[in-house]
Amino acid sequence: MDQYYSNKRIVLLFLLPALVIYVGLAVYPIVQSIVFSFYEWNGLQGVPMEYVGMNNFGSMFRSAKFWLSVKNVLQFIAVNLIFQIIIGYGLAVLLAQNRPGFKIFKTIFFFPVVLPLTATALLWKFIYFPNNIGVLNQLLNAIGLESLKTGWLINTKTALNAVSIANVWTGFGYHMVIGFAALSAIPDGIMESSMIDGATGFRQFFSITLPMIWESMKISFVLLITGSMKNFDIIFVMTEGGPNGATHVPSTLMYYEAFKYDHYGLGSAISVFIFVASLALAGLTIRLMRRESVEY
Amino acid sequence: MNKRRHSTKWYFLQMGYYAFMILVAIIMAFPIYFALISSVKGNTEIFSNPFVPTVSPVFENYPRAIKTGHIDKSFFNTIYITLSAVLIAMLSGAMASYILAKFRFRGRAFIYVFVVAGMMIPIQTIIIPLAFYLGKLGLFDNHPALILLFTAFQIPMTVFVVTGFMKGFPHEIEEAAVIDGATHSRTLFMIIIPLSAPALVSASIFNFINIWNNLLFPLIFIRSAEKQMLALSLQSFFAERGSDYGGVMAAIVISITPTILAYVMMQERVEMGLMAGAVKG
Repeated sequence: MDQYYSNKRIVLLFLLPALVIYVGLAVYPIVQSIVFSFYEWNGLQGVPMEYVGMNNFGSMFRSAKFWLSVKNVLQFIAVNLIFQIIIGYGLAVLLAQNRPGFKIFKTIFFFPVVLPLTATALLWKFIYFPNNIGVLNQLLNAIGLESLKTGWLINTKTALNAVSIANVWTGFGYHMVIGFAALSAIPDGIMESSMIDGATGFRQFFSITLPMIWESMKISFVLLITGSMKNFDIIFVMTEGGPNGATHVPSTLMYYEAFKYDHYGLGSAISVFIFVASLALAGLTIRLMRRESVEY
Repeated sequence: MNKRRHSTKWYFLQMGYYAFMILVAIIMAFPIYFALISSVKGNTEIFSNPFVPTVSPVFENYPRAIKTGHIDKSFFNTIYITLSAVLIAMLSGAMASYILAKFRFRGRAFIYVFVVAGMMIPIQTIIIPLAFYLGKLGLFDNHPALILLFTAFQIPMTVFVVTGFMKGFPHEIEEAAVIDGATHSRTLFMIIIPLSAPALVSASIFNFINIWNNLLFPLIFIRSAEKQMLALSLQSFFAERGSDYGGVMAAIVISITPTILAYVMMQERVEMGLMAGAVKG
């Protein structure tokens, strides 16, 4: 059997297809992306590439548009983190009480996760339409809150939060299911004995339940932060970064700089920034959330 | 306390629970309900009364959306591209996972981490070099190239889930096969892969939904409407004919139907598959 498991030829042969595709189309381009960020060229093809050192990063860091996009993505991350965790895990706690019908609710709450973001983004665009056309504005009319009506995606003050809320709608079901799985894995005995000890409600949640599901919550935090950092689809479809850059995030800015204005060097610099920032944020989150794991 | 009659407070709590859950369910279901009822309405009726279904449905929105938005072509393109990429990721992923889970050689741990780390690569980071090289090679509008691109980004997740699963197999499985004189390939394809079906299905569902919903790759790499994928056809249909609300709604309904059907038919599997990336499958 030792021979079977150490056959070099087979090792190579079986690893090769996956490695060739993965290295050629995912890893090598990252290296290229870093190289490209030191060059400037104004067209995808047939244009001479000029080495410009750190200039692309220089113009990126001097650009007000870039800093606005960083501020926007931080706000987008914060809104998604707070609402998706609270709604997702809150509903998970309610579902985990296993009352009759909870399966139907779980199905309905989760299904936006599987929908194409393009479709949900377009639907939310219709909901946010301005004046008396938009569904949300009509709803506000109906319940007597006309004063709140606005062009949700045209108004620079509301656009980013409106997009963020749409993204919360599409995503929290995922974290609800992660939380539900973690809650279901807690042995019944622990809950019962804590009740006998007199722990109820909030006390029980914070001193028993929360430590038990902490590892899952950590995964949710990392996925939410890195996922929001990379988010492109929903903003591209709903606002294209507008109005006036109010919803641009680094990934949409990268797309426009490179593929609309032919600033491929600057675009590459922004994409390197996205890569480094999402790795750094993931690392930071894991570090901040590190704690003694609970054995049971 | 088990047979005691419930107090009034208990009943209020019960009612509150269900009232709250139903309210959330309405918020979650509304956009889909809105798309469905609007897809059979005329343009003015969609916004004059967005909350109730029409009494006189019109079905012309569907053929118009399909024709002008190239929804039929891109629907089949998307099925072809998604299934091919899922299949290649499954096969190449299973082969690599088998090696990484069971074989002994130097550098195994490194290769595993190197591949799995790919889950952290944001596709935005590599889109410019990919556009550069594919453009140079004349591979825009090329489905096989797009399929391999999608595959490359699904391999890390597939290897992560499937390797974890295969590690649990006892050596006796292969011992029996080797005694019978089976080759490595035969053992892999006749024994290991069928046994890994649960993990392969989970990973493939995850991959399927990711590719089906992807917007950025077709946005950059597909230029002609004939070769386009669904997510982008939908987006450009809206960009070009945004005032044809009924048509857009019909196109939306067509594009979300497959994933909704898949989810309704295999709910547990889809939830598990999507969670596979987060919690080891």
